[in-house]
Amino acid sequence: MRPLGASARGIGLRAELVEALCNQPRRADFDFLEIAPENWMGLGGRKRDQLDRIATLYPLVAHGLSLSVGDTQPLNTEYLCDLRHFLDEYGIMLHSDHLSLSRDGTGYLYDLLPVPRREDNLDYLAARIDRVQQATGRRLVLENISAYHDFPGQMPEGAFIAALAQRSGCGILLDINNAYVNAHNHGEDALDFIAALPSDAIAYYHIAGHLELDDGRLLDTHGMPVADGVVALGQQVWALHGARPLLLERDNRLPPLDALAGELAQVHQAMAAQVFHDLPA
Amino acid sequence: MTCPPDAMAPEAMQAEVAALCAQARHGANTLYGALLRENILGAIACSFPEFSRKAGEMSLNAAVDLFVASHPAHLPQFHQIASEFVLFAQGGGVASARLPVMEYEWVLLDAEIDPAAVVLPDAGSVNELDLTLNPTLRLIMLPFDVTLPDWPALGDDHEARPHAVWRNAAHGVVTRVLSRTDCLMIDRLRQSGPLSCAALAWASAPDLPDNVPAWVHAALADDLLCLAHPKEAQS
Repeated sequence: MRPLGASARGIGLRAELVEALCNQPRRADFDFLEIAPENWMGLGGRKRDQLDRIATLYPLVAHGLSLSVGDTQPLNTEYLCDLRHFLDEYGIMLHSDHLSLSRDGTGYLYDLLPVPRREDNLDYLAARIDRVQQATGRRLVLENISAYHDFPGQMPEGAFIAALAQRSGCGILLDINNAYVNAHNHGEDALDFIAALPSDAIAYYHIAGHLELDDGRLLDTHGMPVADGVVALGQQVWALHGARPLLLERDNRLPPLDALAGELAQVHQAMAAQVFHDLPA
Repeated sequence: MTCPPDAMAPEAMQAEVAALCAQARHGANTLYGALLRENILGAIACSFPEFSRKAGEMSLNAAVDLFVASHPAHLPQFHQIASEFVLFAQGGGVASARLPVMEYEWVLLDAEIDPAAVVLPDAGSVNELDLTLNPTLRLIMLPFDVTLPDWPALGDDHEARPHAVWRNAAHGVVTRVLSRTDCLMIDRLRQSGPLSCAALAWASAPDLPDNVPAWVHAALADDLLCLAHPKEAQS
């Protein structure tokens, strides 16, 4: 697969979109699709045929949910082996997952929980990331998650992720909505987090909508249009770190494909326009 | 894949992670506890709609709560929540009367996504090729009638009936109540592996008064049987 251009725009491949994408010629209003590899690995039948068809139309990037790189159990080598097979089969070079954990001594929990951000944990995590990269034959790109739990006395998130990227060579998937949600929920400055990240490690951006709970906290639901504040933060991200491929996440209350592509174009344009606006004459 | 042993996480990290996970597993009212349960409920409702409807909200919530708190799920993929929930239910996590409905819905899903390819041979006739069972075929005993709305339970005087579930070449999932002839023919082919039509007829002759070629013809028409070149079938 050719590398994505810095101004590439993408959407997540949800089951609800598959039929429409298979039955249309390649669309010009987005450039790539992001898939959750777990939803497609080892499948046959119609789904397999549909993915084969879509892979002929669009470049694919993989965004996993199940790696659980931040847990304290042995890495799941069977999963990594299946993952590599799948990534190789579809020629997917960009593989991302979350800097999170989904497993304890009992088993998998099926949600993304935060990793305690401590200096003492960095070597352990960097070694695991290295093993994942060896197993998949690709650089691992890790996303900053939205966290609803604070371990006491942690390192700032930006410094922690920067240190991890430096020690492990992993890339960063900067989720702008998660940065916004975390800053709001934990009373921090999203720009401090963003400014601490090394630009050269950032592989691409996620942007999404969130929900405000009754108690004022924000929940990263991927079920709403992108909020104005998140777009504004995206503009600052773009100004600070430059253009990167941008992926609009929408997993719930999915609008029709045209509306989704329209929102992606609008957000992308707003982020890019700010940069041009800030350029000296 | 051979990997060197994993390094141990720092002790403090192990303790903090264990405490957070325990809070999510056992604290339905915590945010992570609620999110976890919501994820599982959503997956169950999507994978097992009839089971969810029959179980009702309260009983489903209770089952999901127990699943989150105690089930040792070992499949990492979120889409395997359904498979893990079946294991949990089979271990006593769900009232046994509801179990067959869930198992049937799981078999439907499993056949739909089975990685095996259901292919039709490019050329050749039933006389030249071997007969094989559809590679996505699953057999299941069901104590309810799937041909009627809401799948009503069979009466007390009826035993559970054998069913076959498979995916056809057009990717449709087919369910069929099996007759005695179906059971015998499927059993023959399961025991023998691929057979020519003539060999199947010969092997079935003592037990089956029915016309084997007619049965084969019908089974091929709905892809319960597939055809393969003899070498291909043996490989």
